[in-house]
Amino acid sequence: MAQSERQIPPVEAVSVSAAFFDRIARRILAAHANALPDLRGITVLLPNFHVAQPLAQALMRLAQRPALLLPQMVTLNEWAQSVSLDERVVSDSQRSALLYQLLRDKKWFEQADLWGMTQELLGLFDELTQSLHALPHDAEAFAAAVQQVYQARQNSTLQLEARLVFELWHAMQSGNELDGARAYQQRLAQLAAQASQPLYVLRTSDWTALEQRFLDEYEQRAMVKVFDLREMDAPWSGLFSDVSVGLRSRTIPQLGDTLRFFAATSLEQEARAAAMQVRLWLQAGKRDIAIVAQDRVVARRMRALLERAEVLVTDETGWTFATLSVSTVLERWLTALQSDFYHHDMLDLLKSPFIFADTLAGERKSAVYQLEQLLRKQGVVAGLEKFIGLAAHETLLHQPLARLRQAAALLEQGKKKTLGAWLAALRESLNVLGIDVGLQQDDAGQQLLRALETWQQELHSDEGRYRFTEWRRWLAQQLDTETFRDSSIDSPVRFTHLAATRWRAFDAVLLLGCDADHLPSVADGGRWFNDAVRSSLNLPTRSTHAARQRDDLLALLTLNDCVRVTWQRDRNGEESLLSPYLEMLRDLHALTYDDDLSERDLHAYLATEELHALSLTQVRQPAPAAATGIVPMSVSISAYNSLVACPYQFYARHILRLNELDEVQEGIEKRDYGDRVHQILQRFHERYAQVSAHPDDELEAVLREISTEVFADLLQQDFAARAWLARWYASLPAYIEWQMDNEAQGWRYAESESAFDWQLEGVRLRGRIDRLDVNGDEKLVLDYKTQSEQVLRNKLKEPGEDVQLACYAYAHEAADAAFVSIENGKVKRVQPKQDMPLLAQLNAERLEHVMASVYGGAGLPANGIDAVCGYCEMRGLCRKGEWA
Amino acid sequence: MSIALDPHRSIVVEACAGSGKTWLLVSRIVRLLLDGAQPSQILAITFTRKAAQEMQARLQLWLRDLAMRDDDFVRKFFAERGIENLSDAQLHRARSLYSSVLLAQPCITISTFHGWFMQVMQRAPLNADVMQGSSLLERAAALQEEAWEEMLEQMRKQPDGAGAQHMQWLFDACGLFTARKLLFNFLGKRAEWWAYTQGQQDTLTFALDNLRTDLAVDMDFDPVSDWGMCGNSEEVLFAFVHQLASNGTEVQQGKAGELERMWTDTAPELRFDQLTPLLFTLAGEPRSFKPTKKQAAEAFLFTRDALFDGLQAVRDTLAEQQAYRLNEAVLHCGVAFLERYQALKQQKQQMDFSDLEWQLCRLLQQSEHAETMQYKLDSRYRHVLLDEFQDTNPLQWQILRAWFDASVAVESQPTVFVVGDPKQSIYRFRRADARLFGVAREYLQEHFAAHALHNNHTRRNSPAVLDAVNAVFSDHPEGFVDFEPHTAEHTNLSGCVLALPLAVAEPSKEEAAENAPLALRDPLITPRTEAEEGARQKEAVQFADLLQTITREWSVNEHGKERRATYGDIMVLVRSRTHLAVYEEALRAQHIPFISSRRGGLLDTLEAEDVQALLMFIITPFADLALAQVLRTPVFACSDADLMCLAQSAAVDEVKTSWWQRLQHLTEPSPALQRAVELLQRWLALADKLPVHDLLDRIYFEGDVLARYSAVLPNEMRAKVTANLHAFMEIALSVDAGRYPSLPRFLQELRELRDSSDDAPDEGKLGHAGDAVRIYTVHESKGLEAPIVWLLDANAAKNNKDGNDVLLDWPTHEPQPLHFSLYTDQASRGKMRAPLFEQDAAQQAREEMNLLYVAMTRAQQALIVSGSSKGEDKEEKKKSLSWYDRIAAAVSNQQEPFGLSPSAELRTGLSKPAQNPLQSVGRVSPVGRNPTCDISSDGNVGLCCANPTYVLPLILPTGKRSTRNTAQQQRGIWLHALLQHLTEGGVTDANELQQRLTIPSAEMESLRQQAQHLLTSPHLARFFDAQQYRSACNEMPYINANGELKRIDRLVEFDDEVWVLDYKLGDSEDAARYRAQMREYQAAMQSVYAGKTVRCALVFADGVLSEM
Ligand code: SF4
Repeated sequence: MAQSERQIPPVEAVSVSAAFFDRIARRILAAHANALPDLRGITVLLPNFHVAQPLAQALMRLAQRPALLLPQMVTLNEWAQSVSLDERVVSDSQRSALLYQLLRDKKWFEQADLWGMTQELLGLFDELTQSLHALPHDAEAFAAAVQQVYQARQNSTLQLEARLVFELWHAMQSGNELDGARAYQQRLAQLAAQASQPLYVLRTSDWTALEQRFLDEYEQRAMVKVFDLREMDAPWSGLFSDVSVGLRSRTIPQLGDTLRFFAATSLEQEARAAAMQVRLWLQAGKRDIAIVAQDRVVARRMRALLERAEVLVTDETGWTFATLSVSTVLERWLTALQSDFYHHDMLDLLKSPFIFADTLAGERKSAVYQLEQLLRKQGVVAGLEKFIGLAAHETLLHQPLARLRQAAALLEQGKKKTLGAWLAALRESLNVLGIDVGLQQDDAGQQLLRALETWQQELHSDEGRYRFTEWRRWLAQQLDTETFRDSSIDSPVRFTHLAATRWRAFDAVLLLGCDADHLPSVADGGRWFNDAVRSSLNLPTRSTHAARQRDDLLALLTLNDCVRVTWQRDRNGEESLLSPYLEMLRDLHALTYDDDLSERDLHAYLATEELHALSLTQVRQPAPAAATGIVPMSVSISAYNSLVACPYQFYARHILRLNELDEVQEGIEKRDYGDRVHQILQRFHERYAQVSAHPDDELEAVLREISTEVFADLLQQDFAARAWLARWYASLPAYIEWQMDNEAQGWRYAESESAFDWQLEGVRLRGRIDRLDVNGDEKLVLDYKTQSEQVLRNKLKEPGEDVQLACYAYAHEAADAAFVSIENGKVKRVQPKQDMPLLAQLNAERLEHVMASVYGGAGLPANGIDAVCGYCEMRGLCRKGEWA
Repeated sequence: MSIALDPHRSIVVEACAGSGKTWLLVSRIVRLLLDGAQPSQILAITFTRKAAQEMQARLQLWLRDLAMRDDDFVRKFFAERGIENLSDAQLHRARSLYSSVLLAQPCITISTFHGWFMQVMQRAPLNADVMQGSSLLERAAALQEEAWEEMLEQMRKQPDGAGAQHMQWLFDACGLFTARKLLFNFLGKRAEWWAYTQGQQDTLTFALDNLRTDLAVDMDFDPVSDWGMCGNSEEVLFAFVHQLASNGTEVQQGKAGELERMWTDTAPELRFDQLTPLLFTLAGEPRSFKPTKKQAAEAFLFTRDALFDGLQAVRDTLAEQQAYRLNEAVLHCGVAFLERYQALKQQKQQMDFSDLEWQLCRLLQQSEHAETMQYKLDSRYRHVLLDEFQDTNPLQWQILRAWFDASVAVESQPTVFVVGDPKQSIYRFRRADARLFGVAREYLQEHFAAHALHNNHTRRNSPAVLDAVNAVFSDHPEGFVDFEPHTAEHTNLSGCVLALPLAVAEPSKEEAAENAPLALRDPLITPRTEAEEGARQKEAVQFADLLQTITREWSVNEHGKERRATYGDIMVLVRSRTHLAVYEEALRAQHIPFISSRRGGLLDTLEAEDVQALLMFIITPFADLALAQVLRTPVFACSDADLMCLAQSAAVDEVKTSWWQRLQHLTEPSPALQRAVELLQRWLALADKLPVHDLLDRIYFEGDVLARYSAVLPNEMRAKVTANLHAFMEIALSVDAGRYPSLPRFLQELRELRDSSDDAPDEGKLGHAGDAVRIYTVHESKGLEAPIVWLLDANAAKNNKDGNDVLLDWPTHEPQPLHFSLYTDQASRGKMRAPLFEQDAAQQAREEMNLLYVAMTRAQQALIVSGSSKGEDKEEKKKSLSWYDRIAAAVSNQQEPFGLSPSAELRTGLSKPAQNPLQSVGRVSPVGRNPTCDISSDGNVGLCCANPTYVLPLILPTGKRSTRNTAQQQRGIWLHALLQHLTEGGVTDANELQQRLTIPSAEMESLRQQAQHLLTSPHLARFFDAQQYRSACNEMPYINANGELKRIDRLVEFDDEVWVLDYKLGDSEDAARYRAQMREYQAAMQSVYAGKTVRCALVFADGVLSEM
């Protein structure tokens, strides 16, 4: 491949971008030849500090001196920051707290997300501040102006909106303190007022109104020279400005290998292609690679792929705290608190690596696992005190639980507090829980702690009081907006965003996620005013944002000669479109040069990567032979049933002895219902072995009484228990009737819940029956089932598939055994058609025979039918569905 | 058509399936643009995002062609769309449309209803009482569940409250599941409920009052005792008793005696209950009483009917009362349930689709707001295009209407273009009402002077398929009244329709075994056979066999060319997914690749379960079963011997050890187990540090997961499993909108997702499906087509809509429903609502036909229908015709288009595919394998692409993570920064400085003192005191001849000399290390300050100045 043969380019290679910088340098040097080599008397305004280096180098290239003292090279923001103001500047956190209270007190927008609304309004105010001098000065005029732009008839809603915005904005500005936007404005004004040095400006797109004003004022006092890339005959300047010109009458320079497109068919493919491209570039010796991530999701995926390949990435964009693990621990802590330590939330908190960081990680983990096992077994759903009670005998758990209790006491949810007080309490609780120690050990964690401290300081004079939930929402929003930049990685590969590439040149640039949804990315217009109004107020509109991105993109393409674009042509099965700017470039290129700029190699590289194939044996239906010594010598009825249904299931459950973990049960399940009905009937017959002598209503009353006793705890816990009880009550009269009938046939209740353990040839069979009735010498085993007659009949349809009844009969030498179906207000006896003693005998023999085979090393095949597999927890072991 | 595309007219088009609705709609957009419409003036709405995307893509493609192709193309393009002679100006304009549309801001709106509604809602006026700033709730089901739990909890706390009492009544009357279902269905119809009770203070009382009127019930009236006490009842009864007794049979006389006795011996209020069993069967049917020859038939019947009518009246009254009672309970609880659900959403600041529709509807019905909205959007629509209009629901229509009305009011009435097909309305369950199509047409005709057009000409189907469609529907079955015969565009397209013989089950072995001696199955040797599915299984086998034949012998027509059929050409349709497993199993057995990207099925696939088990293990290492599963997955591919080895190695000393502990302490692990230990240990350690997605990525990578699954799986499953594994990864990326989920939380979310039916993630989509049979439900197939369509299981009886739902009467012209109630089973429906039930049933039946229409019209060339039957006799007893019956009847009527009688041929044909008439679709010459093999699906990448020139890049470790600063270093950095600031005199406020330099408050004071100390110490003062030097400059940048950018910490100029100061963090000992650096500074500065002495010094934190 051509690229791999290329050497690392020498620093001096004259690139496209160097030529532009040379032009600027030449111009500056020409104007200031006298001052050489000391250029400190000049200021150069840069779009970002990265541009200082190439510009300085260009100056040196042309000046050819041993050393040059460089001009002041600053970004406007940085420059403004150097100006000190007399007034105090209020922090954004204070400002939003103020506005929030204002809105809350006025009871406006009661249905709305007030913090979000606050945020949005402040954004709008800042924009208004920036274009202030063009605005009318009272609400009436403002409203009238807005109305006019809407070209609307008299409309009170529109008026109201305009007036409201205007008034809130004024209210917010009435104090002596400056907000960030106003401070910036004043600083710029001062800078302009003190202007003395000649000013050179590099730009690629339009200024905001404020910035433009600054330059205008500056120019009154000192020389200003603007280098606008768009005007420096960049090859496509103006390409998108006049839309009325058809494609066929436009021209475009040949892009050759400057720009290539990769259309992916999935997120995965896009990320893989992008990562592959970067690795190829690195291999080819490129040393300064920018990844402009328009789509953050793909970027995340790609970063992981690069890390796999041991490529670390410097990140200029940063991530909001909400996407980082360090803030998750806060989130979990507060959630656990709010849900009264709902078990999932609590375990989640305790499994965070940041908590109890002042103790050994191993200890923390064993404590959590111990607690988890405990509460799974005991089924405790929530409540810190309950957990403390539960762990009374587990010394390992005492400390952690005590710390939770202590920390919880700090954050009393019932109270209203100031944001500052809440933050203070939070920080202290973090301290108690050893979370702050954990966070200290992490860069992002440190920053988070610092942010909490800063907010607390900023807000210490704010007196508004907030409920716990309000404060939580505030905190969530803060974490959502505050970004963390990991500055610890130094790498030639960097993530950046489009606006940060202004006037920068890289060895290679990857534009990631450039579909029409992400480029131009649309800033949410918000609910305040539409674009027509905004543009008449001189506020940025959607097209301002779009135009800026378009210009940035073109600038990027102008200064860089190796750009690759990736995008998803298919997104979750839906077709998606390429960014319109890129689409037009591509079409124009295709039209002019018959080359649609498709990337040529990546597909093949990806295919080669995929080719990496392994040879493993394909899965087949398993039929393991059990090792000697681990097959149980005694089998329960349910184990026997499992053996018949699917020997592999039996193997997994009873030979490997694998079980699902107990789940903490939160509602009543059918199984519980069955259990309770069994208990009720057992208690009932202990009192009334025979019912015939008693009147129906007495029996019913007693049975109901027992029922409420047996259901008492459930009724206490869960309202739905009443439904289950009602379900049983519906069958209750039928049960009495059935029992009467049963007795009329001569059957007498004999015993219940009796266990048996029967030695067969080579194997023991054990179980427990619900109930045994006798009739003279005859015995009848009964098994209560809360299933319908039909379901039970199906169970018995094929002889030998359900072994329960036959085994009962065998164990008790009963001539008969039956299910008692209790369901839907009906009680029915259900028994197999076949001769029970014979069936019993055959079942016993089969068990002996099969177990002998198993002991002897016969394979236990996974051969359950679908109906069995549907409820089988062992599917992950037998791998049914994967078999060749 | 030229009318349909006329930019100045409003149009309503009823267009049949395959007639090119999208073509028409997009063509109209192009015409509008050509006519001068601005992109922002156009609003097009369709029903799915996918359709919207397609429309957008189609538009872009066409405009692109117009911009790039030659003039002839452009002229022809418009000639096809109604403009014969394009003027030069038009031509010019047509060419520029592409860029102007692409770059327009705001751009053209092509959206779904909900997308557009959301856009409008965001601009809702502040004084409108609607949820402001809410985002769209994505997982409604989970939240509804939460509301349900909360409501029950509330009732538990207040068991005597009215709500609890009503719920108890429901529990008693219909049980937990029915109660729950009723309430969830009520919640599902919340929009209708709001519409129904709109403007009412007390919605519950309003609804119940109405219902009492509708049902004509008086709850205080006791019909039972009334009947028992009423003299008339007695008269009627005895008249009948008399008829029975006189000349009656013995039985009749006995009955008469019994009846008489019952009446006389029973207290009046109990008479009805006592008599009922004598006169009605248990099932509630009247017992039969017929006059004998000896009796006077007329009088007998007269008295009998009078008696039964009276009794029935009582029963009816009771039924209405029961229905009322039910509604009372359900509505009472339902209102509470709804309130809770709304409150939960409010807490989360979210709204669901119903909220969105309802709130918007309310908003726009206030004319002031409706007008405001006309102004407030960025776009002013001059042209509105509505696609798939038959799927609109009443609220959506109200919203549109309000929008149109308002646009008229502000004098910017748009042209409206509506296209749809009531025959394809299949979304009643999503509250769509096809009748609205007619309503909209009338409205637009009246207010927008719209033209109504019909199109029954299809560009999709072959004549053979169309003949069948026409035959099935031309006599307007089940209310399919608006059908008119379709005509085909492609009259030469070959095709066929086949009704395969119904599969019938073998006589069950149960019966066969009856006589054989009883013997039990040995499960080790004989697997149990699936009993239930006999007939269906046969159908499935037939299905799989024939599919193979098709790909061997059939050809299809693509863009006018014949080519061999592939699996990818076949679309399989089922009415519901219930029995799909059987068919899928058959496909698997024959190794036929298929995709049934089952909605919401991802998390149930084995591979997704595997990953979940692995994550589960990572957070709960004592989960033995999860670990065992992980070991068995292809990732480790441990054998059963390995598992047994672990099972056996249980600790000797009785302590129960977890499998994970055992695994780590095995003395001689197999290579597979060894690998597992190493990787699992590594992943356990990583889990604390990495977010879920990154962890998964590492697992996939280090575990070589994808390659190992591929290696282990049968060929035809690979692509699918890979896609699913990727899809799982995507969930990890996007869960909770990219917020960082902890691992336990992530698993918890997955569990919730899995449990909730409508929010569960779909299985992974295969990029370009590859060569696989696609399986869809008819509902999902909307908008799709395929050369060959197979309608499976078509003989199944139509699924009866189960009860326990809301009964609604919302006539299309009414702004709100006229009736709203709930019902359970047949028995308590009563009489008063019978017309509504009938109406509902009729609509249901009609929709069933619509579904069939949609299914049949998916087929471009061949339609195959198959089904199973329980046996001849059952077929005859069927109440209504199945889909199979209808198509089969149509096919046999067909005039043997291929010269062969399909039915005769097929009986024998199936097993001998060579004689199959199916080749008539087009027989392919016996070429080799289909050359268009798909790379991803058969994994043969190597054959076509592996190219030695593409050598993968080596692993090049790139970038490094800097070590963190020590506390000492960090202090030095702060001190340095502080010095800068203090000597510049800008910011002086300590607080502000502290914040700007991010110095922790605890450190600030001591640092400041230290800085002050430096600045004021006598031997340094001359460098910092402005009185003592000519000029000074901090952080001064310069560039040297090598092009290296340097910074001097502080440069101080005196009259005769220049000092370069460099701040150092360490202490003064190691000054020597900095010599080279300082020499460089000096040389550079010397070149600048040629006439002065340049001196260099280091300034240490301890205040020492060390000149170099
Ligand atoms: S899933 Fe089916 S085959 Fe596998 S073990 Fe369970 S029952 Fe047996």
